[in-house]
Amino acid sequence: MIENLLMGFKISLSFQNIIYCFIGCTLGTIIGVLPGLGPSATIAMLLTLTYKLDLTSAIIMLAGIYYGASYGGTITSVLINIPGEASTVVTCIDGYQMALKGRAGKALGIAAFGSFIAGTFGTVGLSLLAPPLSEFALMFGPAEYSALMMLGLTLVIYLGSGSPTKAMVMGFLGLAVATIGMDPATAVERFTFGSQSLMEGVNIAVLAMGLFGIGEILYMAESGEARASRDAIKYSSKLRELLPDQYDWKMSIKPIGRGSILGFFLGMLPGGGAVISSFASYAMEKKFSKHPEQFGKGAIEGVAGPESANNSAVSGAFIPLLTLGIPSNVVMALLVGAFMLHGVTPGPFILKEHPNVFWGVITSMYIGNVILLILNVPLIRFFVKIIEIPMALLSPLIVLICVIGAYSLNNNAVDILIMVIFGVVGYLMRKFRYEPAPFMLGFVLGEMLEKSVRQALIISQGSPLIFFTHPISMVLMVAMLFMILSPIFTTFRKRRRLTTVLEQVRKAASEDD
Amino acid sequence: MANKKDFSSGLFLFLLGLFLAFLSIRYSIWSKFGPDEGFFPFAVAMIIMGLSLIVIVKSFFVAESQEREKTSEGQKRKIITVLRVSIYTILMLVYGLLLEKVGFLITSAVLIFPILKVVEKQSWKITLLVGFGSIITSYILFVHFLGVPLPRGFLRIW
Repeated sequence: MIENLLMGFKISLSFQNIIYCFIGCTLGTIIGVLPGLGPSATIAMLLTLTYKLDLTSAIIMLAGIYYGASYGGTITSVLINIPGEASTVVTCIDGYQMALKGRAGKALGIAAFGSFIAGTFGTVGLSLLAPPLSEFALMFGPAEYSALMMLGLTLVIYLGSGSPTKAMVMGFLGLAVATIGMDPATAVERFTFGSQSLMEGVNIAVLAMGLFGIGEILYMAESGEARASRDAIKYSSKLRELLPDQYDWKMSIKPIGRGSILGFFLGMLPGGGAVISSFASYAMEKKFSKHPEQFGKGAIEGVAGPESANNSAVSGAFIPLLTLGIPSNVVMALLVGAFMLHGVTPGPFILKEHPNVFWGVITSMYIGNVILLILNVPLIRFFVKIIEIPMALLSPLIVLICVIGAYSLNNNAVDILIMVIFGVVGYLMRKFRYEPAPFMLGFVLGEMLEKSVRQALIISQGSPLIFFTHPISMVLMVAMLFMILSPIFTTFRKRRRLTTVLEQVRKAASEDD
Repeated sequence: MANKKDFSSGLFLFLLGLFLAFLSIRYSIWSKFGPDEGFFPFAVAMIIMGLSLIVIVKSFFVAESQEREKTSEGQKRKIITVLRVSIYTILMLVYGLLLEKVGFLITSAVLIFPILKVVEKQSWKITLLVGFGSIITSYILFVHFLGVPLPRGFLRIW
């Protein structure tokens, strides 16, 4: 394993690649720190930048963008109580409270260090587990694939923050959008309405930019002048302030360790591992804590645990991608785009056929993590300044980047129109309180889920029992059914716990207003 | 009705599901080998219809968190909101429609200056500064550094 990792580092650690990673990390943070724009929108917007690079450089730059954007989300969570994406929602609770008590630097510092430790753990876990699991993955047939993806979709719906019924509709709507384009099995054009551009389906980056980028801009455009009035919490720029002291470390080290392990294993399940693991870590730390009453009032463990968990979940999410070829979230799906562009299909054969890519990717993500720590932490004060720029000036800029970005993906102006349409859809979702995340996951898994379900049904000659007669598939289906039915039996026990966490977020947010 | 937003969005999703189901049955659903290209969309459409019915039924029982007052002030603000969002949307659609015919430079100006001046109500100084600044920067970034062939349009200028 060590030789393999060394080989990976040899591939990814060139001077040029590090520069790409630095640029990616900086740009990622700059966009990620804008309120409401999370990693998905940021990566989709900046994907064009990586198109001319070779695969390793492209992945390493995307890794930088990803970590930068995620950390940007942490910065806004702590300083202005607005999470960039669902995975940093929990950070708002205690992070913002810490900031109110003048400990913003410590919160941001422990988040960065926790992420780094979790990233290290995740990289080691990934290199240990991925090779044996890719052998195991060869046992997966269409029925197992279908069951795993259905389980992933259920997980997102079950643990989502709003109404489960609405989340489910969104998931299925995403599946429906994924069927647009030519059916790979029968070569029939579906729902293209004669448009040449829709033949290949809706581009994931176009969809992500529309739903998360344009949707958010339109939603913010509603409120007009009022949105600039939110002041960022005064933030001390001394590096010393950032470094957690001995007491902070003592409080945080166990939550970081637990969060790393929890996040990695939850991340392996397709479907928003980072979100689930950050919520689960928060709930767990509150339970383990000797002073649970401190949670919600600025407990450093409430930042350290979830921030570590959502980071190691990213490493975990690479397992289904590299072993089964299933992208378990939008970020992974965008990475698949980069893979495909260079003629590499992620899946059980990637380790055998492209070992250099496999290990290059694993080490790239780690380098992204390290660069975040050495670049972003000292530069936080500059990134914080971006929050102070009024949205009235930023919105037109983001709109311009998005329209050019959408065009440049295929040099096709129709993609701009598709992006704007999904932007309006994303705006309406926010307005009518539907979550875009299940929609996106439905879209991401759609093509593969359809293929697997159809193949399974062909094998079984139309009998849906095939999902229950294969042992692995049966276990996954039972887990899924248990998840759907458990609220009825346990009288919403688990949901209630999650709801209390969310209540705290809302309360903290309303106190701020 | 307790929750108008849920009712109307549920109804919309139901009709969308119905439309999708209608489109799907025109494709082949099942052949002698198994499910065909219409099978998955049709099944998904059916489930969307079923779930949106639940949303509609629930909307009668679960109250909306806070109902906004219907004052004339509120109505006026609502109109401004719709206007702002529409201008953004229309300008972006116009961008998509004109880009290849008119070219990057003019289309970008048509997009960004009205947003800055009319929607965001910036001063002329800031409008011109930010507008030209962003167009020139994005031109240099995309065309020179990334080699994206942005359309030149009928004027043959960028």
